Amino acid sequence: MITLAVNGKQYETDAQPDTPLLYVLREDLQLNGAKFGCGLGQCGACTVMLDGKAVFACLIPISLLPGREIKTIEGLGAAAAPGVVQQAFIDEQAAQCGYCIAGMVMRAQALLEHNPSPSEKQIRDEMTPNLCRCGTHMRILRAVRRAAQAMKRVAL
Amino acid sequence: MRPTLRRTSTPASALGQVGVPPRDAPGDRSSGTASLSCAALSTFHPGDRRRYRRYVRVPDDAGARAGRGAAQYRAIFAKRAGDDRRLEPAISAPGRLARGPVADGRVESWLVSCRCRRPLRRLPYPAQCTGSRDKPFAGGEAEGWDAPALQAASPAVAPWTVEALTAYLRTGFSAEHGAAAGPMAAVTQELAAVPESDVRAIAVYFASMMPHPPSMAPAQTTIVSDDPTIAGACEGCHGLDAPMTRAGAPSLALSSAVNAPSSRDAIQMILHGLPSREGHAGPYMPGFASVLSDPQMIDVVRYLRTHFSNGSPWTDIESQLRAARRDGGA
Repeated sequence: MITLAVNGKQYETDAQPDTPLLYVLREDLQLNGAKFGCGLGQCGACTVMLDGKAVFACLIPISLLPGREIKTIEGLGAAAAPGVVQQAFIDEQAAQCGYCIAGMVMRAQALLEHNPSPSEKQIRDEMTPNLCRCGTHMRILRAVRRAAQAMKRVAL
Repeated sequence: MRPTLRRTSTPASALGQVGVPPRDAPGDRSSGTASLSCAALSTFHPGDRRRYRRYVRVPDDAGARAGRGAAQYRAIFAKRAGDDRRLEPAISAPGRLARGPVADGRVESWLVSCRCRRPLRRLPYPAQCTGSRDKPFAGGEAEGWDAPALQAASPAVAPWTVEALTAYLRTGFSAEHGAAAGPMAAVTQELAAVPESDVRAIAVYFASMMPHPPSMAPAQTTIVSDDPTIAGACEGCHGLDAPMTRAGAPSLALSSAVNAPSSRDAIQMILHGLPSREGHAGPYMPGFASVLSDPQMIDVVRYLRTHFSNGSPWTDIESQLRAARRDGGA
């Protein structure tokens, strides 16, 4: 059994140690926010936070994870009470099909926790690994900027 | 539990020789680095370029025809020739170079002198990249990466042919060696804008200095591992029949980084990956700096060296890892 700390709760799983975190999240823990896109760390749909940093859940075997803190989009808020970054994405209507958005939100969350006032270049550089095939990048960038402003207001 | 969506399997027999993808494979993905360095080509500052334009006659349409890289390249190489003749007659004659580039001495003097003659000596790192005055092209360190030797000491497992070198220099990727990384990635971006015949001339020159046939036979060619880290983090791309290998990426056993004398490039590659470069197509690999702890990194690096190289075990893993963590990504 491997113990995982996800969104502040402890979970035990009997999955094989080389199973990617993404599959355990989705299939065992029923946390379906993170999506399977490419399975190769190339698209970002599976992005979650590991000890505060954005990572590809499809490439992380759970054997690496005991003692580490995982956060998924379910840990930021729910439809009834969205987190700050989630609300910014809603306000900017940043989703078209929405498949990439959970990953986008998690990468933006990690960026803003680390750097509350990112420059435009820092936002673009940080968001680069995450792809959106609908092409809503401009809205996504606006949402990240809005989230940065909103987080500052929350902090005041 | 082993989810079934992970990957599909294709019989090895359907793929040709394992570890050496077919030449027409649409390759743009990679494992490992294969830095080949003449960093002067990418670090030619705009100020230098203007100065050169004053006394080197660069073809008027060079920039328009082949982009900024070509103009820089022409300026450097025309000057190395010791006069301001146009570049084409001098270097775009692969036949002549092929007959005896080393004996001819001109190409060597152009390239070597990139690092020691005014005003190019102000360039930041070609001397480290390409060796020293005493040992030209013996390799060296540049921006936290090791540039491999470009002469007899080349660590390449598969021989660098003129074809492979030309393709590598123009695309940043070689299906038998790996991908350009660190400062070399920018060099290959610049060379993509240079006429192929000129890049081929460089390839002819360096291919003539590197060993043929290879000094080592490849070690293991595929990942089939019981190690959960390797199986979960690496195999999805680098394993037998993984999508990357079908897209043309070399086996890790051919990777220049895995077969290098130092662990520096392998560690850089695993920690920081091959980042996407805005506006440029090219190889990509995600980094694992936020995923792997130091002990986990050491295990992975040791595993790669043990299983995919016939080289002696690396003794510098801990120190190189500390340095790469400290310096961040390239």
